[in-house]
Amino acid sequence: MSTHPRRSFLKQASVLGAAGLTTPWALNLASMGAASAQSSGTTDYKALVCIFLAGGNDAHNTVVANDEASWYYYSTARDPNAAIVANGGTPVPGLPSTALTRSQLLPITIKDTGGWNADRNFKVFALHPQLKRIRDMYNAGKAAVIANVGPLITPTNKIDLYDLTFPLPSSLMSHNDQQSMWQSFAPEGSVAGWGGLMMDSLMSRNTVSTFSSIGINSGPVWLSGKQVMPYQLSTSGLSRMAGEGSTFGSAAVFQTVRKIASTPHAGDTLAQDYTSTVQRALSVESTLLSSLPGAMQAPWGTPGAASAATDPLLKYTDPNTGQSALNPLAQQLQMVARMIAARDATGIGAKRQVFMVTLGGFDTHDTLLSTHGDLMAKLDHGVAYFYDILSKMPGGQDLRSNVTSFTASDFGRALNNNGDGTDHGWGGHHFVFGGSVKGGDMYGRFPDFSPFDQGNYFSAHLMTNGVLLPSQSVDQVVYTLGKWMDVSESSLTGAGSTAGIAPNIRNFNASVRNLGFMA
Amino acid sequence: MIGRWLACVGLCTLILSGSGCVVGEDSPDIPNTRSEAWRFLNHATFGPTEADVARVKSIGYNAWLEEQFAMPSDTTARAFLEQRDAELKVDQPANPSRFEQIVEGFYTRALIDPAQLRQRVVFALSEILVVSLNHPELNARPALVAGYIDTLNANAFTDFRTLLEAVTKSPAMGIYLSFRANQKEDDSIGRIPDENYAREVMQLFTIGLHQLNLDGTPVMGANGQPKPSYTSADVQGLAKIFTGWSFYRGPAYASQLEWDCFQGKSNCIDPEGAYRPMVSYANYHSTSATSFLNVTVPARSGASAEADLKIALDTLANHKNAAPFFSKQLIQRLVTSNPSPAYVARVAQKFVDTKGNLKAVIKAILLDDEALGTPYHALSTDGKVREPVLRLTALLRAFNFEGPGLAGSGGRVKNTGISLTGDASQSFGQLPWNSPSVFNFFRPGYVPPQSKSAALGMVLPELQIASEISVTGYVNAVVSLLSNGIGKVGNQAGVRLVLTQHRPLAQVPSDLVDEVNNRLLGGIMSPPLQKDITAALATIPVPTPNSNGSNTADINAALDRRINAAILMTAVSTEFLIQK
Repeated sequence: MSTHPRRSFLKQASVLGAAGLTTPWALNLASMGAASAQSSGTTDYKALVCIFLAGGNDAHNTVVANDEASWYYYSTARDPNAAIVANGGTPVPGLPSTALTRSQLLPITIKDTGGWNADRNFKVFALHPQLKRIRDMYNAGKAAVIANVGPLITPTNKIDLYDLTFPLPSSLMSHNDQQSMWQSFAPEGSVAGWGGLMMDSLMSRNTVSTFSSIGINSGPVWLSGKQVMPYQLSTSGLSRMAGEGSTFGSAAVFQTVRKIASTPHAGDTLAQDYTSTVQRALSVESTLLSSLPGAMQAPWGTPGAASAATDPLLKYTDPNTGQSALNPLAQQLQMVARMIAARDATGIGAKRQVFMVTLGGFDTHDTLLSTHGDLMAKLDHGVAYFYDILSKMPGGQDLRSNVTSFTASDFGRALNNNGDGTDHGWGGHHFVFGGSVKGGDMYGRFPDFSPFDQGNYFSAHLMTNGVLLPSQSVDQVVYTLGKWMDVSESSLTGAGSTAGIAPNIRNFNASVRNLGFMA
Repeated sequence: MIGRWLACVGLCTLILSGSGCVVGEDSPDIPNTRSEAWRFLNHATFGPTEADVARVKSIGYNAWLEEQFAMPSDTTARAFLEQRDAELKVDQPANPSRFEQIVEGFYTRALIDPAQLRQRVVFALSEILVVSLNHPELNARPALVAGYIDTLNANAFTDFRTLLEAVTKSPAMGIYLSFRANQKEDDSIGRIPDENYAREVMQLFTIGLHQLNLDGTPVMGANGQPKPSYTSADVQGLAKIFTGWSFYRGPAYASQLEWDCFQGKSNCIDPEGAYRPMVSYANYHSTSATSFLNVTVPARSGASAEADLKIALDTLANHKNAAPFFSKQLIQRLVTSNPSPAYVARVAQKFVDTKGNLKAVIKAILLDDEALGTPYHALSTDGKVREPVLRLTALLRAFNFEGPGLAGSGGRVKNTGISLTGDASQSFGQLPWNSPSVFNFFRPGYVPPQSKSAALGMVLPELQIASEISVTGYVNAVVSLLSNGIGKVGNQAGVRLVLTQHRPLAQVPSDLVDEVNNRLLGGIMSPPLQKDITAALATIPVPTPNSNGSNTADINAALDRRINAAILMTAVSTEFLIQK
């Protein structure tokens, strides 16, 4: 699917050509004035936080259709004993299962605002047992489910898959390519993702572009635009390059080290690409060191805690051991909160931002129940921790409606049990969180379950082995979130031969482009 | 040979202003210059030492390679781990050996094992055929990773098919890609075979996603897109082959239930199983008809797991993609991120001609015209970003270093004590044998956004782990290396650079720069960089000796500051960071 025309609608003043050294972004005096006039507070600040579940989240065990018929097909595919009982046999103790325990599921109800599931006979759904806080947010109207979403070029039915010329996303089920596909609509090697492209179109609202797009501990392609570059922050802290003004007792060495580190060998392409990162780091080093609040401060940290590892706010309970442990997702979200708190500082001045955090370990080919249960517990704790601290940011600010978080992943996983795990899939269910979410509802058609015969399902949404054929596209999620971020319609959809940030959205009927989950 | 080389030097001297060394072209096996030997050793080792440079200049590339091919590792990963385990039981009975001891073993061999080519190729293979200690089961049983390292060590100079089988049967790989204890399908309970290894052995280890020409470029389909090399049906078909394999178990475990041994239950974990190839368990192996990659295996009876595996691995190793797919990645790991299609084709042709003989492939890679000669930064697209692990090893090996564990005294294993180098903000930002996933620390096809490389259609894999955080972290990690050493043995730094021999040169900044230039850059430092470093060094004053020598300590301290500063300023330059 990599043939869409190069986007060319963003021919804005590209002062970033000078490697973002000083980044006086808004050259337009009028917009500078506008930015400084509303210099602080919660007015006109919006941020997206992508929580990437790396490895392919098992969506079938994240959101479950809990009506009798659906549960029957789910459980007989995932639990050998359910299959044995269904066939009139006697359960065999000790057979590994990949099915959740039904009595532990957390029921949720849906309003079906969009009528996506209007003709379903039963609209009984539930969440993974570890998602208690997310269930509470859902019930409070602050979290929503996006059902069966994945990359699509155009609306696709099962019958279309037999047409070898039908346009499909490339390299389906390949981890690295589908991570890239979710983030940038192209397989590995692509260089601009929809988070960064949104910021390309919004960055005139920010004082500098450098802090428009921020990755915590990594800088995946989602964060890169054609002009905006991701800035990476680490949970293990900031430091000044080569010391505090003197290196090996010499100020001249300190200065020379920084000059050499940021100066490419003349004519060397590789050197230029390395030093552009060094230049970016040095250009905002002082700004960050003076503006970024510390980790052990309220509300995101516990004053007096010795380190992140001992901060009770960052600890979750591992459901397999019952032990309290550092939640790496919460630690990354803590850095997001600190950066949001610094958004009005001199040299930052951010009105729109995108952030990306990553929770890894979702490639559950084996030990699915224990591994995935632990990951769901981390997700649940991290999301609730972040939502809570946004309510009490410094200066008494409540930013819960200013920040929208959402999950994304390589792909959903197959339904069928491979022993004690599940294999790669395509579509999956996702969450969106925040005060601006029209929560307590499910958006998009949830897959129908159906009889399984000779390895194939009769369901319109279940392919071989219970891989989900997406009924909602990533483009629709992008369009919906982009609208909330105030990205223009033309930037999102493109025009003529120019593709938009959601490059396939024009293949979808105008009435369904906006999934409707944002207020 | 030496005589001819000397003659060549003489001739070159005479015709220096002419077109080059005519005799050198007749004798390409001997490096014409120190810089050429140094460049070759950057590709073939963990960093050139003075002794290596002299050796290559003396015996030539081919003889050096043959010498290295014949050289065994000075210790196995298993022996290192077991000895460290025994030592820790004495030193810290409460703290058993852990994954750090695998990393200690890695750095120790990288830094001091004379079998440098073998170790360097094993590291390259470990970034293609990835297993990682970040998998909980491997983290808990590092012996499995030691076994895997020894498997790569033993097979680095065999042939691709043999290597592929050894990797496939390795219990560490079986665990990492979840096909150990993978069972045949069972329709009655809705169970399908685990597809993990079937997919990744094709995508990452043998043939890749797209059909390839011999030169590594993709075969394009009618729709203008690369043609896929396999389908989901191929993955499902191949997954059936990788069923019914689990840990080796010795005679002592013969009476245990086969099911328990297959599952690896605690009553049937033979410790030897961490080091021996997995074995087949016929009852759990699929024997129904299957097909993959245009090969059909009919339904069969009896114990067929070994025979089935042979069909699968023969199919993969003989696939026309295998030669360019593997060759290009090995070139990228050793020499350059963007080899020309012709370079890939030359190496892949050698792969085909020799049935994947790895010595022949390695030779073809290291002795290609694109790999030999003087390293020129001005040839702007050559080379690769040095990954952090290789920066650290090259920095240490370029100079003398010492450490309390390096003598192996008291019956202890030689140990650098370097283990935790993963933190990007405080250390080098890469922890060997701890890749985040089977996709390695960085991808061979990574393109940095908004880069010069992207504009030129190039990839820069190693730049995927460079960030605003890591570029600062690296500079500070080198400061710390120079100031404090690195690693830990007992209560001391595991390794420290020994630089006192350079003090006389440090009296004159330009002399010191020449020395550091020779050791870290092979003598090709650009004039602007020499000028910057020399000027900065001159600002560090060195006291004039007193008549009674009472200020010797002050003088030495100043000279040491100059030496440290000279190494630091060179190590942070792109002339070091980019390996040409």
